Amino acid sequence: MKSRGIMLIMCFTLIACSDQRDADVEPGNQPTTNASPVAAVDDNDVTPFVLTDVTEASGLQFTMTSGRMPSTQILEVKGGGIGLIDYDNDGDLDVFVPNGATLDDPTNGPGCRLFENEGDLTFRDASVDAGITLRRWAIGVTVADVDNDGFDDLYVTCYGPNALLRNTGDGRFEDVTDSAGVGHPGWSTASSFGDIDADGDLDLYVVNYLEFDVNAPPPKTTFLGTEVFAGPRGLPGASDALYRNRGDGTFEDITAPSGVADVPPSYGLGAIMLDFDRDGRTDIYVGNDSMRNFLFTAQDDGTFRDVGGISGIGSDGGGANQATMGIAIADVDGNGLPDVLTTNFASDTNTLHLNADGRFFDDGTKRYGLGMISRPYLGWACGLYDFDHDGDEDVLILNGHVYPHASMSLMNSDYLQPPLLFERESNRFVRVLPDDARPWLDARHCDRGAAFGDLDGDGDIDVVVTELNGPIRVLRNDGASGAWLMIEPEQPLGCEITVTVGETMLRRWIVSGTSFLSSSEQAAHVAWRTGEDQVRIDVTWPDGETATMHDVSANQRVRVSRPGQSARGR
Amino acid sequence: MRIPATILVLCLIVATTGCGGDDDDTAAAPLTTGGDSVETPVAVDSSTPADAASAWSWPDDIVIAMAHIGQQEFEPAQSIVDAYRAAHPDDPAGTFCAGLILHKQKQYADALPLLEDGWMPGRNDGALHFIGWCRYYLGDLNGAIEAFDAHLDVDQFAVDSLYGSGIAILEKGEPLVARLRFQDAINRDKRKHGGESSPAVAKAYLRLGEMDLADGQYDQAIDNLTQCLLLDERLVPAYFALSQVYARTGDEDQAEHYRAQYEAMQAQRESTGGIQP
Repeated sequence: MKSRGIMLIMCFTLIACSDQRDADVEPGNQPTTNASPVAAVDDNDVTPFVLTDVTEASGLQFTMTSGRMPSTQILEVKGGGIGLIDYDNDGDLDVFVPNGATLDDPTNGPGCRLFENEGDLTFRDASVDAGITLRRWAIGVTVADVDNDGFDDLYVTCYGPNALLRNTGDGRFEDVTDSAGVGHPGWSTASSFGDIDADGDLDLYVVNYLEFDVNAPPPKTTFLGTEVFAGPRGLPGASDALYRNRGDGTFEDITAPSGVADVPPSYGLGAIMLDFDRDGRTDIYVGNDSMRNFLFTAQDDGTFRDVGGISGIGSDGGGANQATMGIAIADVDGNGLPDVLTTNFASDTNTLHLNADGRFFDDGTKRYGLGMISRPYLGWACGLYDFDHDGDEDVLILNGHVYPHASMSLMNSDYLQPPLLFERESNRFVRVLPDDARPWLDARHCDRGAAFGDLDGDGDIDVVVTELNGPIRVLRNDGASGAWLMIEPEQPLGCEITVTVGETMLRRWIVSGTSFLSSSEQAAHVAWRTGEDQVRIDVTWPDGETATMHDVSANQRVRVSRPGQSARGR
Repeated sequence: MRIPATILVLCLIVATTGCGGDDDDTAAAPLTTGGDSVETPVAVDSSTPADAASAWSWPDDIVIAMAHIGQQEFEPAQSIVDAYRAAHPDDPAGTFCAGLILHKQKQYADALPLLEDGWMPGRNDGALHFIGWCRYYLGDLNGAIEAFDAHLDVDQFAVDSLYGSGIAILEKGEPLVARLRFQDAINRDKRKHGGESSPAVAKAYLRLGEMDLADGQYDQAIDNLTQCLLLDERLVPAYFALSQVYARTGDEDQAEHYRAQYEAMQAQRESTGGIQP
């Protein structure tokens, strides 16, 4: 919001209670807020969905590398994600860029970057200071506090061994990949962290794409009569990996015993770890390119079973396998359960999987207006966020084709594509079309990744976008009005947050692995326009521990500590 | 190449009336879209305005080109049409045929203007059917409905266009209206044929069954999906939906039965997605 209101210092009474199963709340461990609310912007001042490109002013001017243009092999076309991390714990979001390389030297590209947010939406390249030296072909990044030391770490997926960069807490990172045992070889795309064994630390799911040798690339093939690079079909898929965090800085590879290896090798591009059936155990959803998606549900014995096919979430509503790229989560139908939006290839639709009861999913794509309108676009990153602060989540999808010669004539889809923004209106998503106030919706790019978060601390969702071999774009949200909260639970991943505003319940989940190859802010963003200025917040951690806050004032960041933290020895 | 007389007749029927099942969402193995649908025997009703143009006839070259299209022989069809259009640049028949070739190859963006320009009211109103599907696949739902409805205006038994409009209306978020359209398509086809024979009717049952499933009307879903498969056993989504219905009703045996059939057919099905064909 460009016209931010005056910062108000408000004191309020916090009445917190906890309902944790295994520990009492101790004094000093009750939920807290940062007690620095910001006034909401007056509705009349704001045109919704105005995202201003402030890249140049922000100083985050960096062109990513993913092979060369035009792309000649499949390795070059995935591009890269982007990660939001407050690595220095100064209260604002910094940006990590997992940068790629080129086919002739995939182990030695221009290198990843870390940009420090200097507090006013300007960034400086802090890579050298932070010890970021990773130069192999990096693709995705996931942010997580792997060692529970209060500083977020980075897991970078690569073509080649992945890297775990531990945040040492003094503004630097150290590569602990080998000692941690998570340097998965091959071509990894995405990763997700979640607590699968409810022991309080984060376990890791690594998504792998396919077997590809830059020194022996596969011969070209044809698509709709046009010669194109090969893959993924026809190339051998790769099995994913699951690592259990031992809590001592090392991980155990439990891929085989956990059951996640009991599926065919796949072309994985994304994963999230979340309790879909609300049975108190973390499940794993995996988005695959050109084949059925997986939903690994946690079993009583600690293993996982794939129910992607049986549950209906593995394909579209007609049983057709899709080419899933991005993943977004929200309670679209208001039944309190996490629904899943996936972006897919062109000449197919994006798909909204509605979580019916935790066991079965319905295809709500047509019903919610997200189907045929997306067919000319090849979707990648996506986010379900309340961009305009009207009390419901909207959809933003970044698009771009993989084949350089793609055109409407040849493939019913152009190479450069605009983003798709849908505003939630009642029980439909309605496309927001570009106009003079929203030129960003008309700008065509070959986009890939995006991370969502409040970069400028004004309470709305900004976006950082990556483009294939293109410059990063910083889109500042200047189109939000209404009351808001940004809720930051301690140990946020896997948390379910419910905000009660009057008679309305707004539910969010904090999950890693959403969007595409990227890592968004790990906080729950809610907004509303009902006039209520005192709300209730309920937080449930993956292990069932809960915390409740009453009479929370709007327009502030709220930190929620785990009530049982000290009793649990964390 | 000699073209069988039956194919020639069918091609002309398709050109004038359209054909069922052009949505590739429900494609089975082998696909029910493309050339298969051209061979669909949809009779021209004598009451349609198409009859008013009986004095007009399709040029021989175009008839031959359409026969090639019916057999998915697009290159020879294209050669014939290109030559015809060069010789007769102002004849909409050639334009329509050029559009049909592209439509059948799912090149909707390029097909659409040709089909629009090649529509000759009263002569080849079936063009409206193809225009409707092109617009649908290009995301123009209102335009698709407009074309399908225009087709229905000139041919009340164009159940394929009635089905198409139902699909577009469903996409617009009006399931109750869509349901009426699908039911209407079934009823009109019964009146027309005295039985259920149009490919679009099987798909209408499929859509009704899928909507029943989403609404939790499981018995009704089973009835509609079963009827769908009786009419067209190649419709993969019906097996999938039946496996879902039975799984949700706790009938594991039936769920597994249909799931196995779905997976066997799915393995053969040409996906609409994916980076590679």
